[in-house]
Amino acid sequence: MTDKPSSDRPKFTCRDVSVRYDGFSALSGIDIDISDRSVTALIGPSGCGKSTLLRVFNRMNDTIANARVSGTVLMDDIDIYGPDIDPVLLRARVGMVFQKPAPFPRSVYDNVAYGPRLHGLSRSRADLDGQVEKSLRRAGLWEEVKDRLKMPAPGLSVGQQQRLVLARALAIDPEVILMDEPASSLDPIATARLEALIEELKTRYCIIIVTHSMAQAARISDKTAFLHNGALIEFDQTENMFTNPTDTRTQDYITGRFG
Amino acid sequence: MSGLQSIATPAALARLRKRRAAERRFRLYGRAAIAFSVTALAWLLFSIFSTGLSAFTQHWLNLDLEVKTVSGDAPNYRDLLADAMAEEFEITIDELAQDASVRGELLQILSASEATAQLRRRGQVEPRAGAVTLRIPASDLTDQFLKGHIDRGLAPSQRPVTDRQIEWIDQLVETGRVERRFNRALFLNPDSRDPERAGLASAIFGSVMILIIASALALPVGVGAAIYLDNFAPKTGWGGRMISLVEVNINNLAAVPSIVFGLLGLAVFINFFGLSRSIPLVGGLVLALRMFPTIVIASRAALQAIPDSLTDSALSLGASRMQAVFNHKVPLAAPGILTGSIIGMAQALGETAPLLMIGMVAFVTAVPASPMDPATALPVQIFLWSGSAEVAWAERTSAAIIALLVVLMLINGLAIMLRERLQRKRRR
Repeated sequence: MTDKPSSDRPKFTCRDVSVRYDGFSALSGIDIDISDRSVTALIGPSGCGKSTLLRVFNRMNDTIANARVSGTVLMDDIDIYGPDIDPVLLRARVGMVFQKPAPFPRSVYDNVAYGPRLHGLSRSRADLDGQVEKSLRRAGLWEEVKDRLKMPAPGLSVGQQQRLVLARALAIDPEVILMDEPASSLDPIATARLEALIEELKTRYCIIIVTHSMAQAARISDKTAFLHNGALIEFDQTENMFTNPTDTRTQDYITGRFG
Repeated sequence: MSGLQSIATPAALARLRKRRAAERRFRLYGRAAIAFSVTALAWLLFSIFSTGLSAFTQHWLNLDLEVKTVSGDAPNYRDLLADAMAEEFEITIDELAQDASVRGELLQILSASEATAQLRRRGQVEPRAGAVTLRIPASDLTDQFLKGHIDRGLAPSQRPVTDRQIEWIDQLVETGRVERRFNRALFLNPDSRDPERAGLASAIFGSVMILIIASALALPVGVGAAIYLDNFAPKTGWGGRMISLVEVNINNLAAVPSIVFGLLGLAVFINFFGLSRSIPLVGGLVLALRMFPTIVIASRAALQAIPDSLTDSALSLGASRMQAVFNHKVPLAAPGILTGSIIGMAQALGETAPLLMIGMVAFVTAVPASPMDPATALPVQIFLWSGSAEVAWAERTSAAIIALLVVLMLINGLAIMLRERLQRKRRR
């Protein structure tokens, strides 16, 4: 909590954000401010719209044919749904890690180098090598794969794959990392590693994480948002949320009475 | 009572026996089905190969003939040949005069058209009279007789060779003037009315041209259409409705009887655009239409099998949709796309009906030099030969089928090789 120059200015500001899929309303009237250099957890029962909200921040909902997003989403005071914003460039600044790791069926090196190559971020081969190493180090995978950079990525264990796709996302030097239940396919040891990593990464990045696990949200997040039926019920500091929820639905959910 | 004993009640055991029996039955059905198809295939191949293999060799005759002097500018080479042959077999002029059919029978034992052609060629550079050495294919009758396809024991009225001809052929064999050689003509010659001179060159060339033209058109268009439909086409609104209509129609197109494509080709390419009949260009265009739906359907299936998570990952890294699709989806789907394309090509290679409609059933006696020259195709050639009367066509038809199968296997082998190479590259 030392270097937080802009903790008062939110990274994302959402006002009246709604998402509809072909007449079905997935999210309605969401107002939320996400702080930079912190971990924000999105929790709620299945189908509450937390993944949809996550995909609002990098406009991945645009890739779903019948999804319509309305409302205002500001990132650093710029409307990311504005007419002059190309989602391709936005996604270069907002990285994402999916629920199931999907390494490209190529070598470990090529997986991490994909983003930098795509955006022309490296000037030379040595430069690219450095970026790959840096990203793998940040994702805590370097020591395990440094001698196997040429091996196919799908041959890694699931835990390693999840850190690989994290390294892949870090390689394009994003400002924000979105994580959609990143630990759901990991065993407890790999989960612990990932959580330690998130703790480390939040000093540099704005992290938004969707999770099913109350305990995980409590362990790693600074702020927690509880969604239910497409609405934001409660959004507060994580300690307050878990010790003193104001809404009964939040209370019921975090104590395990439904969800 | 232990846990296992409590489960193993008589009723449960009876059910178990029933389940096991059902499984055994199913295994049996499976084996029977496989045995049936293997038998059918083996039978088919055996009958084709046992009839067709002998067509790959052919009997040739080495004849030293003495050609008499002739007068006039346009000598009758058939008569000259018959006279020389008569002398060879020591038939007197009287005999020739008495029996008018002797000359005809003499000419039937060798490829008379080939022999007169050789004599004519020679006559243009040398004096027409004198000793001639002819190396020519035996006639189809002699060939079939020597291969044992005509039974010597049959009554003379029941077999196509006469007693005299058998005598002459035996004489030629005894004096070592008959040799059996590889039948190059089968691959190098175009079609002919004489079985011993007929070859598949026109048909093979026509088929290859058709296949190249059809693939060059249908592969890029089909694969492109599949990629577009799968990844870029609108999915909602009026655009989406249009696209699903298009998709339904592509699927229907695959089920349209192929003769209809021939009719379409006749109406559009020949009647409307004024292209000639019987040319590989039109055949290729028609078969491209035939291949197109097959390729689209197979390619879409291959593309749909690739998980969206890969393209999503690429998109989340800031790839454009085009990059996401072409960097990750298409390479992974390539083996499947390739397999579909090969099935389409194999179908096109075996397609006969639409080619009949556009006149590729013509009797073509020249090897086509370009896609604008009349040609036939292998399956059409098989169809044509199978309808001819002489005994020798039977083995040649089978030989043509073997040639078609070999071409098909080569294409399939090539595709499998390509696919393996692609997959190995992926795995590395």
